[in-house]
Amino acid sequence: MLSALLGVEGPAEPDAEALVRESGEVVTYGALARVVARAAGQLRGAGACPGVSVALALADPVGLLISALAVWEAGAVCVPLDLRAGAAAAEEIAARAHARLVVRGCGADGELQLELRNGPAIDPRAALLLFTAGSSGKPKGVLLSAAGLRANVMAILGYLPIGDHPRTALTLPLAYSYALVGQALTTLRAGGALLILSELGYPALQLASMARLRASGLSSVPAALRLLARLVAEGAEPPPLGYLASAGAPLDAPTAGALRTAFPRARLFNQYGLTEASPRVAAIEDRDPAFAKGAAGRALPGLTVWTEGAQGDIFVKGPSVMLGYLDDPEATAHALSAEGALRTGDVGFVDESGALHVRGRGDGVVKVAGERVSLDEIAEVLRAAGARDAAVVALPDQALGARLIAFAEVPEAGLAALRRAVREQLGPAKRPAQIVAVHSLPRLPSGKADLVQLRALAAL
Amino acid sequence: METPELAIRAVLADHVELPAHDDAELHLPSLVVIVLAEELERRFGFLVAARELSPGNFGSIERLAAFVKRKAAR
Repeated sequence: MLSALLGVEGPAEPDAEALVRESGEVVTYGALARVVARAAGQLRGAGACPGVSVALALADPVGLLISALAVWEAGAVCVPLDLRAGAAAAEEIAARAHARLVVRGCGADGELQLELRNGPAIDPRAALLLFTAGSSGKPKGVLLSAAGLRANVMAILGYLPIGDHPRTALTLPLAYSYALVGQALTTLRAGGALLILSELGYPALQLASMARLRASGLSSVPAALRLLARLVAEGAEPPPLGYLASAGAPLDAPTAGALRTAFPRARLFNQYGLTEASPRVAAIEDRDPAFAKGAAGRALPGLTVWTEGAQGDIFVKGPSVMLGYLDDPEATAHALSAEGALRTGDVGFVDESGALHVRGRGDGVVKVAGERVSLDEIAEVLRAAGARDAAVVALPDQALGARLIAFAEVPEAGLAALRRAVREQLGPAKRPAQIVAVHSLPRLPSGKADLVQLRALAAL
Repeated sequence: METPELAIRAVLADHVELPAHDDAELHLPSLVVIVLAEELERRFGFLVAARELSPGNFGSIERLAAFVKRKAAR
């Protein structure tokens, strides 16, 4: 079931729990291997093979995981779609991914609902194609190889104690590399159980389910971890966590402290990574002295991490670096050097002890609750929906990392259309907290929107 | 004075499709729950406890408005 992608199967016995739904319903490793084999056979029959892109349009995380494993068993390219951004946005991604097969449903027996399409073959070395926000315009398709994913899964298992604490609470959407690779694949490779809690919108429900299903490991983003720690401080029963891992945004000292108080027996990790690196680049445990100084991590074995200058661009080199961006040689050339060094787009420094510190993005990208958001992409959606021009600024926000305020040159009456476009075309993290109608944007002599002045206006 | 129902509708309008009725069930993504709680804290000047982020308080505009009135009265 895993060997086509990861080279080997995990150590789990056939009757061990692989997937556990919030309802308590279990899929064992034996049952999972059977349904994945069936789905893979169906995909092969429909033409799935290396270079064929298969889009997964499934809201059910269990169906999505079965389909993803089947796509890999068939040797094809897996493209999980984020359905939270709406059907139209998902359809656009499927088209841009050149999907020849779209999986619309997956039965408990592994029978897939397939839609067949025409499309060109893509890079046959790719195993996973994920779309992520770039510094400008539309999300970019990141091509990741099986070898890169395998290297990253093994590197993560080298520090994250999933083997000792094998019941992983999965609370993030599987269309993200953090959840799909960093949590789902690592847990299955270690023979652990994935507790599927990503459909629960409320942190209190997630925490209660974690306690009931005896979750022993949790990886999430600081915004969500902070709420779970607050719930425990307010008296909620904590799950028996053996480790906690944070990524997606800087883990600040108050949040780390609150997590230690709420979960005193859990080992605590900060991590750094990006989709283009499959995704994990660096990790650090809280007993390392550099953790308290705000380090995001130490480079994982097999990876080299360096910065240009004392406070410069962060670069990564190693087997888990992406193959490139789909259909975008220009962006690929900007991100990947001829020697295979990846320019992360983040800025930071490596301290004297060798730990990496991340100071944020160097371009128009911000992190909202751990998700990469391109300010330019949002402005483009507003312009397409009728604004003469638009600009989006990000204000610091304690809970979410950033709070987005959009300014649009549009009459008040046009705001409804902009709001509708934002809801229908952008995922929750990309929707501005506020859209302000203005007669004209303040501008720099160059004609570009004056972001400094807009930021001051937004802070009022 | 802005009523809680109107304020809640204004905040939600930027994130989800507004339901026709205040008592219709809202299915909010977890991120929207956090954003909405923050916005209510900002507008009405009370603090929302993490345990108060629940379908009982956030499951419809009607329940949200009752929650805001209860919090503001304290």
